[in-house]
Amino acid sequence: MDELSLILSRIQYALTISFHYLFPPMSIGLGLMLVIFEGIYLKTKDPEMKEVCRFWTRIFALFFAMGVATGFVQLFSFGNNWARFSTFVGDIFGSLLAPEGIFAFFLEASFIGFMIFGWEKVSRKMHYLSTCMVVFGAHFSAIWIVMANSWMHTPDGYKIIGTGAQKRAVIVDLWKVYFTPSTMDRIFHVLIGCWVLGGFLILSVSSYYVLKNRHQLFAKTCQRISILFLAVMLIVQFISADSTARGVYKNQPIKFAALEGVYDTEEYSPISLFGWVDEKNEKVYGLKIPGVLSFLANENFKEPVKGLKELAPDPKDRPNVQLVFQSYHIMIASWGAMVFIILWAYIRYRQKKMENSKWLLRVCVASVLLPYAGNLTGWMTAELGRQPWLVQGLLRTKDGVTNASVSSTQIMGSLTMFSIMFTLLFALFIFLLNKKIQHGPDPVGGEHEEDADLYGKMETKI
Amino acid sequence: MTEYLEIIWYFVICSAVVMYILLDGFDLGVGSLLYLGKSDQERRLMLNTIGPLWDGNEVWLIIIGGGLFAGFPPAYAAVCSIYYTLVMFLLFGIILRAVAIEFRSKVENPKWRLTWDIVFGGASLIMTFGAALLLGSMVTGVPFTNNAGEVLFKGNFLSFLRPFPINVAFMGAFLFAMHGGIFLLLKTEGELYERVKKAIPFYMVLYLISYFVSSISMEIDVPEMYQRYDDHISFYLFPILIFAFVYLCHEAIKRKREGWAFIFSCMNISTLFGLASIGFYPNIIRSSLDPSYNLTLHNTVVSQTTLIILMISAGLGLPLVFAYGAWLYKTFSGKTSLHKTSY
Repeated sequence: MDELSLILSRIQYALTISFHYLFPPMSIGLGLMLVIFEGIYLKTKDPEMKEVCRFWTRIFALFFAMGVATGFVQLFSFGNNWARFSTFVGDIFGSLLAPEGIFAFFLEASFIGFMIFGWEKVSRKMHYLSTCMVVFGAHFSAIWIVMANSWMHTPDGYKIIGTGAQKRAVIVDLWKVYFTPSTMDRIFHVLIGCWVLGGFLILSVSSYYVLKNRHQLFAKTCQRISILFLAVMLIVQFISADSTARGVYKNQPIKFAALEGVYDTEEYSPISLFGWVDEKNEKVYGLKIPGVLSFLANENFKEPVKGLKELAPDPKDRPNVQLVFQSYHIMIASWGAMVFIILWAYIRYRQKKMENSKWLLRVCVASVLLPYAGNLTGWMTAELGRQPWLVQGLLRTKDGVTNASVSSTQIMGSLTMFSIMFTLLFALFIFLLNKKIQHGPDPVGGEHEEDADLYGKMETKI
Repeated sequence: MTEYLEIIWYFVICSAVVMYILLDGFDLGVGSLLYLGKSDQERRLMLNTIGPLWDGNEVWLIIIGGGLFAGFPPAYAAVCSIYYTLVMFLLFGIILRAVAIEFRSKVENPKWRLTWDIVFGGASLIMTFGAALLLGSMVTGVPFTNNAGEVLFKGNFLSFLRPFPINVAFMGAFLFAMHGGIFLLLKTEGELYERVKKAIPFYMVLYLISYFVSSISMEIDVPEMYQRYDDHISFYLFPILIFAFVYLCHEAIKRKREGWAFIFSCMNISTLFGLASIGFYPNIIRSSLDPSYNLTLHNTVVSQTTLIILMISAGLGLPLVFAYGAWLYKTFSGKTSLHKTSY
């Protein structure tokens, strides 16, 4: 495998997984909001609330369909470009991804029909059960996937058999494979990231309605719930982030050093609020606060955090520090910006002046991009920080790629085609999303022709 | 225990391939028969016969891919990387079909709609040819070496274009057109129904001819499969069965028993695939250079722990898939008509 094919394979994987990751997190986050909304409806039986649920279910269906369409690509991308990796992790991943397919994906697929069409056909409780099952499936799916991914970061419960190309990891202790040292932290961190995303979509769309003076009652209900929800979630995310980072410090010290660009092991290790990594001279320029990194890692301002020079003297054993540093800092910054917006919105909301603050509303409309930025850069931090390993300490990225069976020309071709296809899909997605948002929730007791837009394309006559 | 479980899993994957061909076969067939719809209205109706079903049908592709990865990872890796270009064709076909069917209804302009209908038909054909070429080529085998698990592909795209796979690709296209046509008979009425009915015998004849030709080309490309059939002479009943099912199909259509016609068409496909897989077992991907390079279920299977997890998952999950499928098909049974929210 030549250098070019390796880079193209990495770009292609980054492209397909990032594009996929625009959709499933919304199924998880918006799904949880749906469970809350529909729970309120079940309790109050308020017809207004029912329209809230129906509207968001339509949006949910769109994200769900996009998630399935882009998920197809993921299934084959391991074998296509990462054949050796597939062989190496096959035994481990099989035991994780097969239950994912069955207990998560099929569970969702089975109940989503009832969730979308079932409003008038099944009882309220049955419908709520369907919604809960779909959302449960979406969460479960994420959990299995993050378990598999966590095994790549902190492999455990395995033994290596075979040599050369036949070298592969085989399960020894199933529970250790399922729950590696980093698994629980990462599951919560990812799920909360998804919940925050769902909350911000609701805040964004409802602020748009308030701004345009449409569906006022609907929009204000959604706004209120999402602000409270987000206020809680952003705090919870902080706790989870702290715990995750400590785990990284313990289990993947090189990644941890790269997060803040720590090259030298010295007392009072600093964090940077922002900065620029000079990889050549092994220095970081930026606004630093000394001692804080030491405190976060060791609960002690003085005790040093080990630097890259000590942990990985050979630069070949280090990740791309600049990329890891920047994506990590963008992730943190997006969290800061989200906290700021929610604080601002919460104060305005308590003053009952939300609808008069045009600028606040405009910021809220755009705010959904922040959790997207946070989620994507968060994953970039995690995955780039693991480099040069594909499976930490066991398999290097360059050894996981498909060998000469696939040429760089083929990958160039497929990469080009993916770019075209994803552009088309994204245009379609934006078009449909905008159409649904412009249509808005239906009036109470009105007709619901949009429900059938995505799935019920057909009326039958027997 | 592993030796039993691995055979069960191999059987599960083979069954998933049959399910995929049976189900996605008809909606791909409808895609390639779109030219029979003379007006926008008719093509709309055709698309809406498969509207709620086609994406569910593709779930079987997920089961095939996921099942192979989970049960026989080295074979999954070899298939995906050696057939890189063909797998990509399948993926792009899937995405393009989804885009085309959604886009076409959004603008009233007839040229816009015709363009997307052509894209949908074209993407369906690409998928059909891609999938059939892949299956045909897997039977033929491709040049790769396998040094203690190190699989190295020695050919290029031309290695897939042997006589047998090419014949199978055409056979697949005719077969799906016939299968999709019969499905359309179940779902349509009037002029369109008559037009589809007239087209089906044409594809039946083409299918039988291509079946005959591909059987001959198998002698050139994979003589060892004939040897296996010769060992068990009863396998020669299968070709007779295939001709019988096509004939029964034809008779059922003549008597306006479309449901039976569809069942016979399904039996025809299952027999065809059954015959192929008997000759193919226990291989997953064959090397045309040396049989000792072949990747089989025995030399690629995962550990027993993982196999047991796979069994539990499939045992609980597959009934769920079947129940859901049955519900979906029951809900959307009967003739199709159009309304406001159709494609």
